[in-house]
Amino acid sequence: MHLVAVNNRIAEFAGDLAKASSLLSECDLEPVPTRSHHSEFSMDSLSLLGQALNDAWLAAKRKSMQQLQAHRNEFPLSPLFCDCPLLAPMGMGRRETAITQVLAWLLSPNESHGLGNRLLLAFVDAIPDAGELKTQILTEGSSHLSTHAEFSTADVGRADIVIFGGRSPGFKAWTVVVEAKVDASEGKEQSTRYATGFTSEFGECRFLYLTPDGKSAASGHFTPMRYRDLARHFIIALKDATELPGFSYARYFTNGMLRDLCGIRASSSMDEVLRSNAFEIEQLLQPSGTK
Amino acid sequence: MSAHSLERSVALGFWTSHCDAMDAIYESSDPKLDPSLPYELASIVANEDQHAQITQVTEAAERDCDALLLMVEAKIADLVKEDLRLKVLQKAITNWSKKFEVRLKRDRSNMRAVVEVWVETCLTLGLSLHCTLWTPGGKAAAERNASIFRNLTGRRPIKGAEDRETSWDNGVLLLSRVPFKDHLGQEAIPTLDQERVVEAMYGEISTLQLPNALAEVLKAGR
Repeated sequence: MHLVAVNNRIAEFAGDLAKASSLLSECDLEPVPTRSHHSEFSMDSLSLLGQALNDAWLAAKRKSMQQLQAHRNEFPLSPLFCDCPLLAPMGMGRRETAITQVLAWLLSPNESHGLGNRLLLAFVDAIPDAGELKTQILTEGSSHLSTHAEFSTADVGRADIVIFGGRSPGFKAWTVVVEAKVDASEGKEQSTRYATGFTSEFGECRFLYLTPDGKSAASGHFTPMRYRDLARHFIIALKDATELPGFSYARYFTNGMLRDLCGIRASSSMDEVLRSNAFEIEQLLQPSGTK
Repeated sequence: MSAHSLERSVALGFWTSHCDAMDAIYESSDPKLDPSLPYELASIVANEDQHAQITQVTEAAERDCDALLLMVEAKIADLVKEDLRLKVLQKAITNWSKKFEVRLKRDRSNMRAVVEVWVETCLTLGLSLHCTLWTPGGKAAAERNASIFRNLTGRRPIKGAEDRETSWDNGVLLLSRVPFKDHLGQEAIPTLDQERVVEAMYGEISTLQLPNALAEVLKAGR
């Protein structure tokens, strides 16, 4: 039913687009309101660009519809098809400290959620070129891993999440430092200070800068990461965890991440999900193995 | 009040008409190199001419948005300054957001209210201009502030967690929102009538008795 309705809407839109396009080719594209920026643009080229973007949008819309349908068949309990964001009802959907506290708890393999290291491995999967780290986690097991939220070090400041591993005999120690941002921007020399401070205290560290739009930190030591990529890998990891105690909690948290931090209309209604930005859906549901 | 007027914006009109695609490209760190950019868009930005045009539209949109927000912010700040009990202090700004802080004159407490105007893509409304009010105190403060507005004007601003269009935290009230799509021209490539956007926002804010409400909000929060 949903697909039929959306297909009709797309067909209607494509028809209107074709009419608009033929009108465009007929009309004189030299509009000159008295106060205007038109002279700055070549209106013909802009019209062609608009057409190309519309075509891209239509193609993405079709693709995202197919992806959504397949995803629903494969994983009906996906966080994408859920109406319960964990933090938003408390007015904390974009509260950085609340998000990182929950995230740190979920990433810790030894907590009571019973999800083990699933979400930690999903998190590592979202880091570019982190294959070696993943192997280390798998080989070492979870007993010597520790995850901390709001981790303070003297003269450096508080990092949002710090994960320590490789502390058992025969393993190479590793540290992952996550600085998460929602609405705030980076503090003065914050990432540079963290990179220097944590490296001098804990040796080689992997630094991540987690933001809604994947922007870079001031320090080149930080790898940018989007909440959307994290949500994508969490969804993949949760597929086989529906029977575990912490599944619903992780599902609601991921649902909130999608709605509050990624602008994706996660909902039990397929029509509602389809009103999201088609390009975002396409990226969220791209096959695993691609970044 | 600023005597300048705003031009119709081709760039913001174009962005509003192609919001999904423009947002996806804008949020990409480097559209030409970003592997996460969807294939459909990657093939567009791979075209040198179209990439140059997108850059041109983006830069013009940032510039136009900056001018639009400065105009709205100045008009609202001027309105607030008419109340002799209040003083207005400028805050940090970006191309997509402007804000000012309001305090009671001769008040030694740290109580302040921050009025912010900003442009963001909403879930159903697309690119929209927002005006929000924040005071310290989280959920309780938002509740108290909402009741002050309701008592003064009979209208109840939306509190943070209640908004289905966009997400924000406790302590924030949405005073007004103007979707750009309501102010597009009829041209083949629609332009945004920025003057009408400013008027629509200012009209809404005027009916809220903002200066009086702000004075009450600040007194109640001390």
